[in-house]
Amino acid sequence: MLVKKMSGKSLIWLQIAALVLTSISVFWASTEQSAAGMVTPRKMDMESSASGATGVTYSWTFTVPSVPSSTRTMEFLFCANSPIISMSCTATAGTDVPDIDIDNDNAEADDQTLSTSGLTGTWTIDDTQSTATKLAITRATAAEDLNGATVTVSINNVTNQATTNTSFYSRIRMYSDTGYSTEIHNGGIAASTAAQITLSGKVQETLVFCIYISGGSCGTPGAVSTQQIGDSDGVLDSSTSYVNAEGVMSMRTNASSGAVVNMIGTTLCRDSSGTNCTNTGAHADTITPMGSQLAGGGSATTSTAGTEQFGMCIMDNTTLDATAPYDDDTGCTGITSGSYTGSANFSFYTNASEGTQALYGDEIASTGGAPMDTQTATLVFLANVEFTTQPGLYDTVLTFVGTGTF
Amino acid sequence: MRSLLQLYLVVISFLLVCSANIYAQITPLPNRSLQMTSSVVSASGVRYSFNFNVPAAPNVQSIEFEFCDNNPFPGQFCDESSNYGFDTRHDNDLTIINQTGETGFSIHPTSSNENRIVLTRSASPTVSQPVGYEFENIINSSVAGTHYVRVGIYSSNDATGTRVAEGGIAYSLNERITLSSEVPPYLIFCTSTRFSGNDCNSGEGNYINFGILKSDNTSYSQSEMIVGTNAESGYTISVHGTTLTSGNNTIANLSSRQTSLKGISQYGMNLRANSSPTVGAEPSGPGAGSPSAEYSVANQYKFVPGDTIATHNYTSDYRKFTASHVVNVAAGQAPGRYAATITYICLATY
Repeated sequence: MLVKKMSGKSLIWLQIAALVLTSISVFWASTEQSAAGMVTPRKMDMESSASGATGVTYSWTFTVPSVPSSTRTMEFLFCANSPIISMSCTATAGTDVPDIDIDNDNAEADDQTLSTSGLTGTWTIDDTQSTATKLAITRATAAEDLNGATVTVSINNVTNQATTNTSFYSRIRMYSDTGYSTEIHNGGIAASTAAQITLSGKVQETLVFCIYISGGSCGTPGAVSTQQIGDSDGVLDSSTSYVNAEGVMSMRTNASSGAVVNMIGTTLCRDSSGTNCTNTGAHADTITPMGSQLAGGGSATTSTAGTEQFGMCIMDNTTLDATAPYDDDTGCTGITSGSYTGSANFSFYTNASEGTQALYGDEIASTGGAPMDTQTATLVFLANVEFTTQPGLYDTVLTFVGTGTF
Repeated sequence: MRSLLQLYLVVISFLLVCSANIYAQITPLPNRSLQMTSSVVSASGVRYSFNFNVPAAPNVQSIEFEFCDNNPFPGQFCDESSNYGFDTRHDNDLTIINQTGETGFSIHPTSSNENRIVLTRSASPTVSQPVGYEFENIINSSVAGTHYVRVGIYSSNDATGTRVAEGGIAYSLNERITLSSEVPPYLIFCTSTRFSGNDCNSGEGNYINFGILKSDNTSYSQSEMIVGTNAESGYTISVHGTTLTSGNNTIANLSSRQTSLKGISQYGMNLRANSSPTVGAEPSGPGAGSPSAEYSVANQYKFVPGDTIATHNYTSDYRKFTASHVVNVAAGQAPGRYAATITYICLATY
C-alpha cells in the first residue's frame, strides 16, 4: 500500500538512497578488512566458467602496493560466502567453490602445475598449507621484495563448482614468513560460474555442378547438344587434327571429403544403334580411343594426324584438378577449338569395368578431397582420322556426374 | 517504467530465441555420397548408389531416402515439386539391387512413394561400419540443378518416429555434351603413264606410243593407276574402250588370257610384273587390293572392255597398279595409224 501511494519520482529517490547505502556498506566492509595493504588492481581469470568444467586454468593477476613488500608465501583461497578477508570462509570444494585437489588425496601439487610471472626465485605449491579450496605457494629460499610488482599466479587443472550461475569468491593473501602468519597484503575477488548458451546453425550440404558451353553459364548452358569436332562444317580429314574446347564444367561444394566428376560415354561412333559403339579397340564404327584401354587405368598419348584417335584432356586448375590420364598440366593449356598442332597428351579410357563405359563412368576430375568454392575447367576433345576411316556421322553423348562425399 | 518493460521484453525474447535454437543433436551419418549412372534431367532407368557410415545402434529397422528440392535437412518440409520419378506404391518399378554393410532390407511397400524410398527389415542392431544401397529404375527429376536427399535411419520399421542418425546429400542434374563430326566418303583414283610414288599430282602424261608395229616384234608399254578409298566395301576397277583400230581395221583384242605371240595380231594387258616381254610391275603401296584373276597372271594378257581388272572389298590406303600393254601384229595387218583410248573406271562401294 505504501508503495502504491508513492509517486514515480519518490520511487526513484528511494532507489538512489538504497544505492548510496549499499555503496557505503561496501566501503565500510573494505576498510575493516585488516591493516595490510590491498593489492590493486587484481583479477582472477577462468579459462571456462561452465559449471563442473574440468581441467580449467585459473590465473590471479594483481599489483602489489608500492611499498617494501618482503614476500615469502601467498594464499589463494576460494570462499562461497564472501571475498572479505576478515570474514569467515565457507566453502565446499567442487560444490559451491572450485576444487583444486582433483584426486582427493589431500595433496594439490600432484594435481596442479604452477606457473608464475612477476616473481623471482623458486615458488612451489605448498602441500602442507594447500587444501582443496586453497592454493598456498611458498618461495624456496628467502623472501623477495615485490614492491609495486605485477604478479600472475596460475594453476591449470581446476574443477569448477557444480552450481550454475552462482557467485564465489577468491581471497589473495601475501605473507612475509613461512608460517603464513605475518600478512602484508591482501585482496578479494568475486567470480561466478555461468550457464553456457548453445548457439547452433545449420549449413546445408551443397553441390552445384553443371556443364555449359564456353561463354555460357550454369543457367544458360548454350549449345551443349550440338558440339562439333572438325572444320567449320564439322568434317574430319586425315591431314589435320581437330579439337573442340567449348565444354566447361563448373563445380562448387562444401562436401567435407570433396567431390569428384565422372564421365560416362563412348568414343565417337557412327553406329546409330549403339551396338558397336562399346568396342574398346579399333572398330569400323568407332574412332579409336586414345591411350591404353586395359584395366588398371588408361594412358595418354599425343595427337598424330592421319592416325585414328579420339581423346580428351582437361584445362584445369589446382582445386578442380583433372585426374589421370586427362591431367596434362603442361600441354593441355591455352587450347582453342579448330585445327590443332600442339603436343598435349590426350586419353579416352573406355574400359568397361572402370572406364567411361563402366556403370558409373570414369573419374576425370576431383577437388582433392576438400570443399571448394566455384571453379571451372574446360574439356578439350581431340579427333583424328585415318585415310581409311570409314565415312559417316560420328558422334557421342557424354554424361558428366558430380558426386560429393559429405 | 516503460524502459523497464522494454528491457523485460528484450530479455524474454532473447530467452525464447535461445530456447528455440537449442535442439537435440542427432547422430550424423558421415561419408555420405550418391553416385548416379546418369545426371541427365528426366533420364529413366538410372541407378542410384548411396554410401555412408552408420553408427552402432541397438536397433535399426528402416532407412529413409527422401528426395527434396529445397534443402537436405531431415524433418523439415520437403519440396518435391520437381517431379521425382519412382513409385513403389503403384507400379513397383523401383528395385534395390545391392546392399552392403547392414543388409536384409527391402523396399517398404506403403511408406515409400514418389519421392521417398523407405527400406525396412526386422529389428536388428547395427555396428559402426560403411554401408551401401543401390537402386535401379529411377527416373531423374525433371528439373536441372541441385537437388537433395535426406537420409535417416530409424528404429521403427517404417521410418517413423525419432531418427537414430541422419544426414543430407546434395547432387546435381545437368546438361550433357553431344560431340559430332563427319568423315566424308573418299575415293582417290588417278591414271598416268607414270607417277612418282603414290602421288596423283605427279602424273607424267597419258599418251603411249608403241612406235612401229612389226610382225617379228612385240610392242609393249605400261601405265599406272593409283587408288585409295575409305569405302567400307572397297573398290572395283574396270577397263573400258576399244582395241587398237585404224579406220575399219583393228588389231584383235585378246578375249581370253593368253601369252604374247609374235606374228599374231593381238592386244592385251595385265596388272603384273612380266618377263615376256619384260614389262609391268607388281601392285605396290600401303593399301590393299589385287588384280582380277584374268589380269593377274604374269606373261598372260587379256583385254575385254568392261572387265573388272582389280578389286578390294574393304577400305584401302593408296594402292598402285601397273598395267602392262602388249601389242603384236600379223604380217598381213593392214597398214595405218592404230590408236585406242582406254578408260578405267573405279567404283567405291560404301
